Amino acid sequence: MATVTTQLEPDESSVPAAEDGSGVARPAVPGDAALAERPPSRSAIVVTLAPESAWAGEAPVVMDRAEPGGLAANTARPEADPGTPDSQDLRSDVLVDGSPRRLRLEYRDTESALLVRGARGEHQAVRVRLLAERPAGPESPGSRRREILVDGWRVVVDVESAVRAELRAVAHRGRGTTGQSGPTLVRAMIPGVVLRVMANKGDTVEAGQVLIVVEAMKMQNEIRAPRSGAVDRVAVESGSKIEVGDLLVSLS
Amino acid sequence: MTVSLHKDAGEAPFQRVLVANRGEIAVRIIRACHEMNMEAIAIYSDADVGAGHVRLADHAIRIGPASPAESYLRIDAIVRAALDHGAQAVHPGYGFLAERAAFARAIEDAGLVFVGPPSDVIDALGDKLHARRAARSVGVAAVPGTLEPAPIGRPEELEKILAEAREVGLPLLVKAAAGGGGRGMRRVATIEELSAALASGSAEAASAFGDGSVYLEREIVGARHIEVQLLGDQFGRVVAIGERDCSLQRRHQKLVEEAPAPGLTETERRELHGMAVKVAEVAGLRNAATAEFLRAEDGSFYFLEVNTRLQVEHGVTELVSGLDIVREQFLLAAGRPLSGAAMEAARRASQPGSHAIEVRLTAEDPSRDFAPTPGRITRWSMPSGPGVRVDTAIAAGDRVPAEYDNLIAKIMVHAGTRDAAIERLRRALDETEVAGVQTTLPFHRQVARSTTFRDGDLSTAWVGENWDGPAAWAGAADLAKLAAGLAALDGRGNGEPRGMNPDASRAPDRGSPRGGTRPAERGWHRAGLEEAVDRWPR
Repeated sequence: MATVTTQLEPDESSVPAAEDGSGVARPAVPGDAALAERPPSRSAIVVTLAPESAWAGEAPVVMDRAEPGGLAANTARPEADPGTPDSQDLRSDVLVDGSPRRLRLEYRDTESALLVRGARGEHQAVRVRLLAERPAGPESPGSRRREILVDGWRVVVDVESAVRAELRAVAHRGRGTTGQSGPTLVRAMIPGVVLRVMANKGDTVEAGQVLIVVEAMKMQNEIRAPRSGAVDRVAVESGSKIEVGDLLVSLS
Repeated sequence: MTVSLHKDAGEAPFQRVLVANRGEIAVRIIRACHEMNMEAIAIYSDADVGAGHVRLADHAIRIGPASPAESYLRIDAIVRAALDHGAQAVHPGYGFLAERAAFARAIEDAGLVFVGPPSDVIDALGDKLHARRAARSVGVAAVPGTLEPAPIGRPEELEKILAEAREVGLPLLVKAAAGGGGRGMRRVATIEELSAALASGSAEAASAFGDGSVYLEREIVGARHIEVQLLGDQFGRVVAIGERDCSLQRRHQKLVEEAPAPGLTETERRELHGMAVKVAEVAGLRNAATAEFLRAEDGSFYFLEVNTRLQVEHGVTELVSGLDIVREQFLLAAGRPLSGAAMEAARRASQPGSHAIEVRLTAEDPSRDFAPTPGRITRWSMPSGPGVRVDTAIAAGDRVPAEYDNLIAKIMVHAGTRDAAIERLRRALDETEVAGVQTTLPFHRQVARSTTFRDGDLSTAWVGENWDGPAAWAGAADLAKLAAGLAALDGRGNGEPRGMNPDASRAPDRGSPRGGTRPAERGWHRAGLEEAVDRWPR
């Protein structure tokens, strides 16, 4: 019996629509905190876990190229590498959330690379495969989505310009602060068939209480309440076929 | 009869075999058919049109819609397909109908040969309660627990069940009498959980096996799961081909298996194999089966159950023994006595001369409690090279349907010693790459690097004690975000200009994903390749 981690997200109606007007809430405002301190340069980019990725909604990363003579060169310049031209050395420095880091990608072919971290001689490298980008989809127009393989994990990320993310953050803040106190939507994280519905509209449920049992791949999976609250909607019934992302239960 | 240069050709036990399964095990069986010069007929559901086993078979027959109950579990349709298409034998693989006595009986009644134990043996051994009683009758200790089905649905018997549970001791397991693969199984830590566990376990068992009988068994904490491969012929002879350690499990499903079980002495092996043979003999075993045991921390063995079918993990025994178990199954099903190869393998079973490890690559997310992740596989790179065997039905572009088991490949390695096998496993898993769906690959890579695994410090609690999926995921996600950011800064998206300004990001894809070579950085590139540790730091 699996306890499936449910994907939490605020109800669409309680969160201002994204600037694109799609009305789909994003798991986080990319780079909000980091961007507030310093306006992004034209080259800065924001990387977020895509909604389809497991554990989406974690902190986004803002990255920028550290220019020669800039912040990175002054504060984090490692020991010079003999035999390596300075210009190239500097190009391997980047700013991650405003902090300089020694990081570079060494490409082996069009999509596989080594991600090299740390100063030369003490560096660690890990193989990464960067699969081809595609548009992120209607919920985040302008973002590019790509799947990255790292040590057996597949991580799907959305990449967009920090300038654009900043515009969105401003728009987001400007539309008031309807908090996260609205309904919690429990969505399907696996496709399957609803075996049993164990909560009814109007029920009061405790965090961790089983709401729905889904059968997928011959296993029964319990979908549990992510928090305590009242059930204000049950969107499926016994026998319903569900796909990833389908609304199951709404808690208020 | 045509003249053949193959010495074996005349020995093909059947001309045409129907393989009543799907996925990697159907492929495994079809391969054995082809090596024995037999034609293989595949069956498929609507979810498996063009699937791997269909591509490989000589004939393929649609058997119904995607739902297993309407396709791979339809006894009447499968028997009719076998008769209509001139099959003489039916191999059930594992899962689906493999341990349904009714299926074996229907095939026998149709005048065909069931490649597995006869229906009465499946009845006797497949029912775990029967098997537990059989073990007791020959003096083999079974895991403490009940010997009759729990009287579910009779509220007046509730007190009796509670009394039995207290006698068995907590924590205990509710298990399906007809069960396998952990389905219908529930862990009960406190007596209050018992009635809910009985109800839900029984319901899951009824849905999975058509039989809701459940019983109670004590959970032996810290135990190793060790099983013995058995073969038997119709002349009453049963032999053990060696044992496997399958301790690495989650939710009572095996993740990693190896042969032989590490750390056993030759004497312990003989004792264990002898217990398994005794239980199988008294039940009249024929063809292939596996007797499962728990080994408690004090070294004592407890009989668990007999699986009257080919096991998922039979391959590690094949690698160590040199015996082709599926081939032996066909020969035994045709009424031949145990082969010379089987007898030789049995003779050497307590002195294994090499080591094999298998990992089950499944479509599951090991960061989310191994939740299923069906979907389309976009990239599929399996390892090869010395001592590596991969059993799979998957190719890039295939879908992993949500309707069936989520095993997508068995990656096996074989080497002279266990240490060498672990190094080989690590190497093989470093070569493995899957995109499109999350698999258990990160978990398996950690197993291959684990010192506790290398030390043979195994138990069924290993996964819970050694695997922190969310933490492993978080580390990988951070690296992936950095890599994606660097690629964007480098202009290495889909050939886009440097920097992801809003206008550029709306540009249509260009043909080449290559962002152009950067001759100026070749020096770095070479230096990086020479110095970089091309894997995770250990």
